[in-house]
Amino acid sequence: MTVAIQVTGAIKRYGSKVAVDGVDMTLEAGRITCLLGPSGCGKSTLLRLIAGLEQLDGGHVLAEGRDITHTPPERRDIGLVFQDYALFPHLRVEDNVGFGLKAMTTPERKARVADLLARVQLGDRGRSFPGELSGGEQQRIALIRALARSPHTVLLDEPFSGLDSHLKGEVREATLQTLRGSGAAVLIVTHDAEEAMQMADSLALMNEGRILQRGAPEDCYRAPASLEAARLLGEAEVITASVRDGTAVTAFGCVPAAGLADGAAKLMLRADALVPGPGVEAVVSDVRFVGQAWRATLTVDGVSTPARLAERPGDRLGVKIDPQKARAFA
Amino acid sequence: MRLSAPRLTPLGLGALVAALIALAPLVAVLISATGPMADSLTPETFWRYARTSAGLVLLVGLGTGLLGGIAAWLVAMHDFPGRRLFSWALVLPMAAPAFVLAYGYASLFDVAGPIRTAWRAAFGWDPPFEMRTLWGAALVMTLAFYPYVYLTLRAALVSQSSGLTEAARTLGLSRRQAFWRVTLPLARPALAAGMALAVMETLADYGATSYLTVQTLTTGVVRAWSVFYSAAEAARLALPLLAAAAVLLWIERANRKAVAEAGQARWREIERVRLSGPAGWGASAYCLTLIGLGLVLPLGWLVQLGWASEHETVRLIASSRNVLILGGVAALFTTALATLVALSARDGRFLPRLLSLGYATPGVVMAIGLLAPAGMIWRAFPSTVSSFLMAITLLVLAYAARLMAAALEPIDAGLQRVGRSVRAAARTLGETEAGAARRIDLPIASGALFTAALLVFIDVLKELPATMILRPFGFDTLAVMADYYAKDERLGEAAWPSLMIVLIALPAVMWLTRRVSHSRPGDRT
Repeated sequence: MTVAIQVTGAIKRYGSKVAVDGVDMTLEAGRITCLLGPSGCGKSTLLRLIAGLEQLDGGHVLAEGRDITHTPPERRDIGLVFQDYALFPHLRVEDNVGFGLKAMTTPERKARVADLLARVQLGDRGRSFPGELSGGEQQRIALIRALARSPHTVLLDEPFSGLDSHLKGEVREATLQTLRGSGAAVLIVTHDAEEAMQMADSLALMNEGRILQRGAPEDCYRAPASLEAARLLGEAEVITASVRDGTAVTAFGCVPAAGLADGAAKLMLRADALVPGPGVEAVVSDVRFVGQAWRATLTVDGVSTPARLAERPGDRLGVKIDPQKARAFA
Repeated sequence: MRLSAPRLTPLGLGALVAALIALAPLVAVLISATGPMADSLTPETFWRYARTSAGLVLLVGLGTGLLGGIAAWLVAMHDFPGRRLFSWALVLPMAAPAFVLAYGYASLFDVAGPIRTAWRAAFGWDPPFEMRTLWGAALVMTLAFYPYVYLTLRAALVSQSSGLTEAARTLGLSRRQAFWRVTLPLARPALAAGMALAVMETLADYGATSYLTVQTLTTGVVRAWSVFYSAAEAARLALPLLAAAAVLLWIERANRKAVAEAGQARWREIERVRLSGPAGWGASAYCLTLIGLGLVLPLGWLVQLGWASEHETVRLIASSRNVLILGGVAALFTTALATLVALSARDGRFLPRLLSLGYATPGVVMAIGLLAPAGMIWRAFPSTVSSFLMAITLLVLAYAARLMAAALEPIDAGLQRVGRSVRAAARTLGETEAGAARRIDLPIASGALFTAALLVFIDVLKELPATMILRPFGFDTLAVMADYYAKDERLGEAAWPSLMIVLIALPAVMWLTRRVSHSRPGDRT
């Protein structure tokens, strides 16, 4: 697989705050990487560093083997889709899309723009101004504008955050299709775990300027490298545990904890990790209906944790831990 | 200009040139002031000038605050007959330079003028008011400069969200109490900023004060140069003006920041109080009187005087042509420099502040400051530089140094409409910094560029002291021509170029006012 972008030891400081703290990252042609992290974790900064819109304080960026650490953004051949789309308000849609195609002759450019517009079903909106488009249409224009120069890498900064929730799914699918068709290396920055897992071939979890974990979405979810990483991907409750001979023992039952030394530990439980079954009997309190499920607080031997249950529980409930949805940490 | 920028881009270079142009005259004034002492300036004279300037500043500051403040309060917060018309007509006196008002009022209140004659006929004794005094000058300048207070305060009042007053009402305050405890404190920074601008203009004025024979520091500077040919003395007189400019600038900026912060609540139009019956007509009469006194009465009288006298068509045409060309060149040059500064200093604060100091500095101080560097160039290349071109260049540089900040403001605002990401998008699509400016920033901000050029043009049109000092021999502008005749007490002949200035400036001022008010929320009057 061709490596399109290779970031090594990237550091970016703003005054005393370290926004990006020694990050390594590889983007491969034809693969979609999602960078997931909470707001302010440095993920957008990392994206801007790769695009050349910010200067690194340390480390290197290579593009197709070439060092581009000090190359200005216009010579990097990297497309960027901005969170607010950043369409040029004074230019028509067709001129927005063709903006970066200066090297082409006018007929070539027109043909390329028409082809791109047709690809996102906006062939008839070329003469419109960006202000006349809906949010979803603007998003598509921003996407094909970034793809127009056939960059080796496309970066997307929270590309769906400006859309209504009922539009998101549809636009996300169309975007994925367009991105895959381009063959470019893709990096999508997002704070939405579900979105990241849905879109990514490869997931990178980031917090406080550092990459916590990299891997396939399922691996990251099932085997988070740390509690922090686990929390980024979904609800995670923690109860105390003690490890003995590779097993974590808790009030709610035991789970395998291979590789952990004997002694005190923590057990991370996903919201649906406690399932009704023959295990321990828990006292149920705070039962609330939350749409597709019920939430309740389960207590065993003075240890309480919230749980998500498919059926309304009674006052007491026999539960056990689903080991697929729990993980022990030292 | 980001001082930490590692490499000097073409834009950065332009900004550097702009900074030099703005800074050179200010530094030169400081250096000139250390030159050899002449005998003409005694400490007594200096203090007399300074006292008059201070008195004028105090009177005009209070006068404009009161007149302009009441006008803004009426128009922004009330509804009365003619409010929409007054809302923009109250700005129109800005089209007339203070010296034009001075000619009109001095002649109206002359011993043989219509007002005294009528008064004597009616009451049998002479009215005690004399125009050629500190009080007279203060009156003229208050009428000329109240629009600065009116504009800033009206903008602040209109942009205040009704939510704040409503919150005050629900917390138990009456409408009147809410005004005193919420609306006014929130608008106070705008009042202070407007008064600071009016006072800056007062300190910069030469034409009105010199015609009314009030001797201020500014008239002293011109006198030191044109009578005693002492640049050192002129510079020493300019020092307190420079210091005052810095203080006023600080007041204006500090308060402007507060204005910006006050407008952050979610905006909803304030509810205007309907004034009906005598109160409504009283409000209309107040606005009408202000416009009448600030524009119609003095200008009408000048029309009368001009009509009755000879006019030199050839000289009038030549002066008009001169000032149109000069104003056009200065507007283009200044706007271009300000645009470079705006583009490259987007994140910086230092350069815009430096330029603002130039704006607060009276034109005459700029002119004195440019004389010394000009002398150096002159001595270095005596034969190669045409004296005419040299003088015109100096004049344009003086205008640019003084007006760059005025041009910078609308351009900055215009460029702020271009989002950071929009500019970054152009870069990732293969444009250089300069290319992105050309294809994205400038087209989007084109309206703002025009506004900036127009602002500079109007100021050049009205400018007198710097033009007088730096102009090439025999090169008259309308203002210089008017001043020449007025000093000769040929007011009829002075009236023609004066009216010409107003005639050219009036449509520009009207256009600018409408444009500015339409760019603010809730100010579509």
